[in-house]
Amino acid sequence: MSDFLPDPILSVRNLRLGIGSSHRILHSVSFDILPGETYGLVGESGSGKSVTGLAIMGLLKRPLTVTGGTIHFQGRDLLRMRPRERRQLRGDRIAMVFQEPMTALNPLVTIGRQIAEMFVIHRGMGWPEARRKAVEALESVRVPAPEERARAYPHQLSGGMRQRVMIAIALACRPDLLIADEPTTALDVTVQAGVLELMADLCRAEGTAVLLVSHDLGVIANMCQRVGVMDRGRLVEEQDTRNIFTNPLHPYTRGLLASRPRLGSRGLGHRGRLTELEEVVAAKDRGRDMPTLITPRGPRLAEGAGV
Amino acid sequence: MSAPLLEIRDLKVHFNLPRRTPLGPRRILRAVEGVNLTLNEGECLSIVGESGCGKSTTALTVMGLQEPTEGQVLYQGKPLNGPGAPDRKERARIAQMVFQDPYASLNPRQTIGSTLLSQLKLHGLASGSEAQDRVAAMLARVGLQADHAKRFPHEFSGGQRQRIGIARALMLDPRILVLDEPVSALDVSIQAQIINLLMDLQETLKLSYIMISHDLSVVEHVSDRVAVMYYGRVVEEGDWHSVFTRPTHPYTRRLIGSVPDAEAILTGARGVPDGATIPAGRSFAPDISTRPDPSLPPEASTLVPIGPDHRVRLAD
Amino acid sequence: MMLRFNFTLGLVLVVLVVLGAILAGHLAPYDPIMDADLMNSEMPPSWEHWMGTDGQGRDVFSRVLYGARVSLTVGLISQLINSLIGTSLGVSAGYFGGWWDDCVNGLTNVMLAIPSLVFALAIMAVLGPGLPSLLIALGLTNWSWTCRIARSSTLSLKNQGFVQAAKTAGFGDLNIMRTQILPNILGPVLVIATLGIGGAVLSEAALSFLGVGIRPPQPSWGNMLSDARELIRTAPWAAIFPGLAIFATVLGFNLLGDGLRDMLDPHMRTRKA
Repeated sequence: MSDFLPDPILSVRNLRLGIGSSHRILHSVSFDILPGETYGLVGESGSGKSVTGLAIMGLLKRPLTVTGGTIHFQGRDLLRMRPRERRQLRGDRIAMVFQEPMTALNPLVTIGRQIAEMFVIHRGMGWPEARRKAVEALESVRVPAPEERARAYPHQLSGGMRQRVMIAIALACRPDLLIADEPTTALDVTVQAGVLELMADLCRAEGTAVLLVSHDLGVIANMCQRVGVMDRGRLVEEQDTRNIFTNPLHPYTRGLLASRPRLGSRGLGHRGRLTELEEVVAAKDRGRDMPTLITPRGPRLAEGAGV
Repeated sequence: MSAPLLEIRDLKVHFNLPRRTPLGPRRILRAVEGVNLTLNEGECLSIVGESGCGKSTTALTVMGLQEPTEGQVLYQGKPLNGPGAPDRKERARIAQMVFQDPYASLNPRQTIGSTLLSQLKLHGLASGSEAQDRVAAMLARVGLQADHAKRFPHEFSGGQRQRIGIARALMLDPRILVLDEPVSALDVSIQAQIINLLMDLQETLKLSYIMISHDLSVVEHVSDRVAVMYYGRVVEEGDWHSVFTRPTHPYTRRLIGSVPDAEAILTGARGVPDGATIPAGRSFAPDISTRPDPSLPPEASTLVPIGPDHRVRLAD
Repeated sequence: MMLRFNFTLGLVLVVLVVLGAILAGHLAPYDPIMDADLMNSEMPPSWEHWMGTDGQGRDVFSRVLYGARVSLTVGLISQLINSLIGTSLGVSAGYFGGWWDDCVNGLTNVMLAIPSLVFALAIMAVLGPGLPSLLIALGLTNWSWTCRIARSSTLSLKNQGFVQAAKTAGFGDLNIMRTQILPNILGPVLVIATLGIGGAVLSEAALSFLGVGIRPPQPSWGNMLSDARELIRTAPWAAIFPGLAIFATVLGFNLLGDGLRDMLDPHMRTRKA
């Protein structure tokens, strides 16, 4: 028996990505995101987590192409839409925040104008009204002295501030889905907490669903209700966040969790060795075709769990 | 208690900034402003802090890649800069550095064997087949194979390149290794391997480490002593246990509190442990509620002991 | 694929010119200077004279072949001098910085502001005409771009880990510039050099045309053009063929340079795999 669940806002099914026909980057990835839910995609470099986000946004660069599968957003398959329709969704219904704000922002345009652009393009507003909304947006992301800051250029702001501006641009049109690709990785740790909190608050207030892509398990734990673990192009495990950490099922997840040094875990006495991933899951076993170990919400466990 | 192996005394490194207006006052960036640290033989001293705190500049000064504006670095009591100091070649036998970016730390046009051999040749430590043997032995020691010597850096993964960087640093038998964010650029699963390797090497080769890092979990795991830097100054330092279990300075507490520790978050056990008490009437320096201006001279302050090996910076 | 075509075409042209120059002695049917038959002057291309004859009755084809020797010598050697000067100044300026960098930058700016041909003319006026003076004059005037490229490449390399690692290993500055920096900037420098060869060939043509370069009767494409000025109506082939030769040579080196740059670029990119 399962509780009544609303239709997912994003439904990825058997997504396959590759370079040409020979080189596979994603091997049949499937997951759902419910409206208002924050879903985390965690993995190391090369796991395919970032390209998944790019594929959803339609930002894949050649020679990467989607070689199979579907991406349904609010019931419509993004991959089979006309490019113009897809472009209209971008920024308006689906938005993205990138890792490096300095490269994602136009260095020659004031940030106020960059935010205002969103309103002009997607809402058809005039510039004066758009600029006012831009200042409001800066306020909502807790940037002090928003009118002044709106006239600033990206290079005049700190990293954390720039990331807030990116969030303001992304959330300007109140999208239904926000894809955040390593949003705080480039920031100092004391700034990270503030930016993450901001994102969480804003998305919760608007009911925005979030796909949070990160290699940092701590960030994932902080923000997500459910987590998907990716390794070498495959989604190997998906569980509620709490369960991923307390009862990881897949050997790769177990290895990943075991190999981190954890704050507060060192006892007095001799320094201990860290568990290396190879000691938990052999290199040859990684990336093998195995069914994804999923526990959908609810007490029922999928078959194959507990392997 | 024996004399410290390396001492950093009152180190100041200032950079000149361009003037705001052509006739305006000269502006200075005080990257390092009066740092005192000691490294004892066989121990691992970590310097933590966020970007811009001066930890990397301090490391570069120890290595001789940055000239100090004031202050000294002393090795076994003898100064490493100024007249009569050892030259570049002599310094190379004292301290070596493992760099942060494994992709930029190797000459892309030299085979790694050639990079390692050239160091032996430069110092006249070995030649011919003996030199080749030493290179092969070093590669094995860092977990690589002898025939890797013929390959170029781009043929290796990030983790392997960092191992090669460690091999390069150890080639000249230095006493001290300065590790600048040695694992920050690596995948989580590779970090554990490299950290274990560094710890093993420290034991077997009896090395002393200065590690620069912003990753507190790694620092806690690996260090004997820790110094926390903030805007060019050490605000708290001591043995790892004191600093991590009784973090006292507000900046240290803020740092530890910001580490997203998954388990702590989920079990709701989040929180920073209590700090030690400071003498009555004293306040912490600097005040972290506002950002200090690195071009102004800092207020007067001292590192005050609050435990057997635990000091915190308080305003005078 | 387009780049491969460019590179191959350039290579073919350059090889043809080089072979023509080296084998001029064997390939030329007539002596370029002595075989002057005034009765046969201004004859159009024929089986006896593939490119016709010029105003003095000399075989144009033979003169074009021997002229290739001049152009290539000037092109290659003067560019070599340019590269040596530009690279030493650029690398040292980038590496050491400070007042030396300021000096080199100032000098480079001055050189870029002076029209190179005028400068070369001035030097030729002092040294007198002839091949050696030509080499010196052209070698001293066109090093600025190489210097710029060498300097900016050095700046970007200077703070990379492996350069700092070499310093910490105890290597001296000269050693580092030679073994660490130089091999890594050869790519861009080489590309500028191949493009510069074309430019040098054009400059030689211009100077010889103006009468200050290679003096007749020794053939150079430039002075052949100069001699052919009066014959444009009566014997245009005396100007067309040297002109085509210049065109083919410069095009060849330019394409070669372009192709080299494209070949080296993705290679560099894949280095950071």
